[in-house]
Order: sequence, then structure tokens, then C-alpha cells
Amino acid sequence: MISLHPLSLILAALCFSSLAILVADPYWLAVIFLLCLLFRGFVSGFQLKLWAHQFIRVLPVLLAVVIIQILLNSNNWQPEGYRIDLAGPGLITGLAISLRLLIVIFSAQLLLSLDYEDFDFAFRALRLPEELCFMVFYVIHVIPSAAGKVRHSLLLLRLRGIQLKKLPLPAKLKIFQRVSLNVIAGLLSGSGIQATALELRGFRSSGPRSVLNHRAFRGSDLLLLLALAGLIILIAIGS
Amino acid sequence: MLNVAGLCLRYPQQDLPLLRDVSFSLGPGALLWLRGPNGSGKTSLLNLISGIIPQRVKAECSGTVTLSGTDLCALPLNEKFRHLAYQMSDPDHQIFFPRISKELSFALENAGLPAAEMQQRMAAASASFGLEQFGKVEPGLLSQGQKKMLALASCAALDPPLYLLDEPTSALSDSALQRLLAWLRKILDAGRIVIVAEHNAILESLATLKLDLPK
Repeated sequence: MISLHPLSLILAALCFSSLAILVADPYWLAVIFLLCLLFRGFVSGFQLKLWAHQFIRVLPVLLAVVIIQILLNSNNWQPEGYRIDLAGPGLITGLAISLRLLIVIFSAQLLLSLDYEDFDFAFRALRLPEELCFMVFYVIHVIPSAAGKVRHSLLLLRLRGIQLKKLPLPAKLKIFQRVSLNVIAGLLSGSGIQATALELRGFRSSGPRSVLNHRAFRGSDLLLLLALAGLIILIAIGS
Repeated sequence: MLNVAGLCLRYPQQDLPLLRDVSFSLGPGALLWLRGPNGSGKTSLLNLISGIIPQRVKAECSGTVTLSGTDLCALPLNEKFRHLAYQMSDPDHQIFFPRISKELSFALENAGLPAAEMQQRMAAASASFGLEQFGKVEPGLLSQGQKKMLALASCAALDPPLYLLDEPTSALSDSALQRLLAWLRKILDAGRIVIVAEHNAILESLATLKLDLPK
């Protein structure tokens, strides 16, 4: 397996998914999908069983896309009745959309293999302003925290004998509205105190900073960037 | 040496001041135990010394706080970490990052410490508070007591001359309390100054000075 800088992985995932959206030619889409698969294999191993499992899970969606495209692109009513053109442009469009979906899904799987530290390395390599990193980390932190608070509020309701499942929909909506407003208000008020607490720990302080963990770019990262640039040029010339 | 002289505080919505002419001096290795009923101003006094009041919470205040000749009141909030560490009563207000290791290293990176020293300090702080096995754990998954230990460990890793601790013993188990006491003894022996707002009398044996804040 190739060890790459997390920023390179993010760039590769962005590149593959952007190409999947921009490229219309199904043959090029098939090439991009194969390259995406190969890249994922080199980065995280050729886990064929896992890939097959993921493919089978999205297969119904892909089949539905192909069928809908075939139906929409058939020549509708003919004098002899409704005719479905199985090998016509509908099949090609359906396959192209399915390939796009697969590329986006497999690119996203690349990002899922990254953990918090990897994103930290990537942000540092991009030299993003500290405030922007703060916001990203806050979102990473706040979503599970808010979900936990909502669960806790619902538990408190149950302990008061309120059976949410037995309530009519308007009453349920009212409860969810009040719980979510309460949680959002709590988060907003807490975020002010958190910002103060961060400042007390030197957030946005002056003076030189150091880094606990550092990860440098390697030759393999440069090779990947060159390969991605080459792919974009080839597609631009070829299509 | 910490000198607090003539601290007065009145919140805008209050007619009478909450704190009136609070003065004390603490030498190296001293622990001040702040006592008083709820609402007597213990946390407000810590906020005043740390600079949260008036820099972030607006209130009418006066008095001076100097630490080894440095006027703490004149420093911006984000430069105070070189002089003090503040453990707030609710650890959720202080825990921010999705990894405990990042939580511990954040202030050390801002202080520009070399990586080796950071590792050493983080390891020592984790060991003091029994957090060694939680390095890559999401702090949100910790219990309230463990979160409190993490907030204390963050302060311990920074190792400033002055510690402000707000209810450090709440939510702690007996074994965690013993760890806290052992750590307090260690930093007091090392000459650090500690101010603790606490209801629990377990810290009484360590206190060199007690300050009762009336309601």
C-alpha cells in the first residue's frame, strides 16, 4: 500500500468526483472509475470482498437509474405499440449516470479512511487560517454533542412519562421543535464560553507556534499530483 | 508571588457589589481555598483574576492582580496562558477537540514548545490523571468525571506558575480524588500557586490560606 499525505488523498478524491460530474463521455467515465478503483486499491488495499459488498448495496439504485433512463429515452408510442429500446441511448445514459454515482461513492470512501489527525495534517499543509480550522473542528465536535443533547432531552421526556410514539404528529413536531430550539440555544451559549476557554489556552496568541506531529510530502505525493494532472489533460484532449 | 489588591466587582444588573476590596498575597507553593455559599462570587473572583471579567464578561471592576511583577490585568486573554491555567467548573466548556491528545497539546503548541517536550509533558499529565489509555478517544465519549480529569490534565500539561481551579473535585470518584490530591501536592512542592474554589473540605489539608466569601 502507498503511504500518501492526507492532503493528496483529499485532492485525489476531489479530482475523481469532480471529473465524474464534468465528464459526459461514458468511456472516459469507465476509465475514471477504473483509475479510482486502482487508486483506492493502492492506498487502502485491494479489498475485493468489501468492494463487492459495497457494489451490491448500491446495485438496486444503479439498476433503477438504468431502467428509468431506458424508459425515458425509448421512442415512446409506435404504431405497433409501446417499444422499449434496450440497446439505445437510454442504456448509455443510464450506465454513464451509474458510473458517476460509483465514482463519487468510491471517492467518498477514500475520505472515510481519514481520521481526525489526517484532516489536521491536511489543514496545516494548506496553511488555512486558525479561525477556519477552529470552525471545522467545532463542527466536527458539535454534531455528536448536539445529537447527544437531543437524545438526553428525549430521555428526560420519557422519564416524565411522555410516550412520544403514542402522540399525534402535531404534538410530536411541537416537542421536537422545542427540544431542538433548546439544544441550539444551549450550543450557542456554550460556544461563547468555549471560545473564551480556548483563548485562555493561547488560541490566536502571538509568538511562534510549534507542531506536535508533523507529516511531510513525499515523492509519491508529487507522482500522484502529476498523474492526476496528466489524466485531466488527457480527458480534455480526448473528449 | 501573586498579589491581589483591592478587587471589587459589580455586575451591571446588580445594585450592590458582589466582591468588595478582596486582597491577598500568595507565595510559591501556596494554595488559597475559596469558600462560600452558592452565588457568593467564588467563580467570579476566578474569572476576575483570569481576565474573563472584564475582557469577555462586562462588569464594573477595579483592583490589581500581579504575578511575579507582571500585571495580569493588562495582558490580553490569549496571552495569559503563559502565566496561568484555568480549570472551569463545567468541563464541557473547556473540551473542544475530537482527540484527547490534541486537547492536551493545544496550549503547548501555542506556547511553541519543542515536540519532545510536549510529548513528555503530555505523558506526565496523562499519567497524573489516569488518561494514558484514552489518547485517541473522542472526549465526548468520556464520563463527566473523566472529562474533569482531562480539563485538569490540560492545565497540568501547560504547567504555568498559577492555577485557577473551579470545583475540581465535583464528579470525581475516590481514586480520581486521590490522583488530584497527589497532583496538587506535586505542583505545590514545585512552587506553583493554586487558587481553588471548592465546597469539598478534602482540600483543607493542602490550603495555606482560606478566604470566606460572604453571601
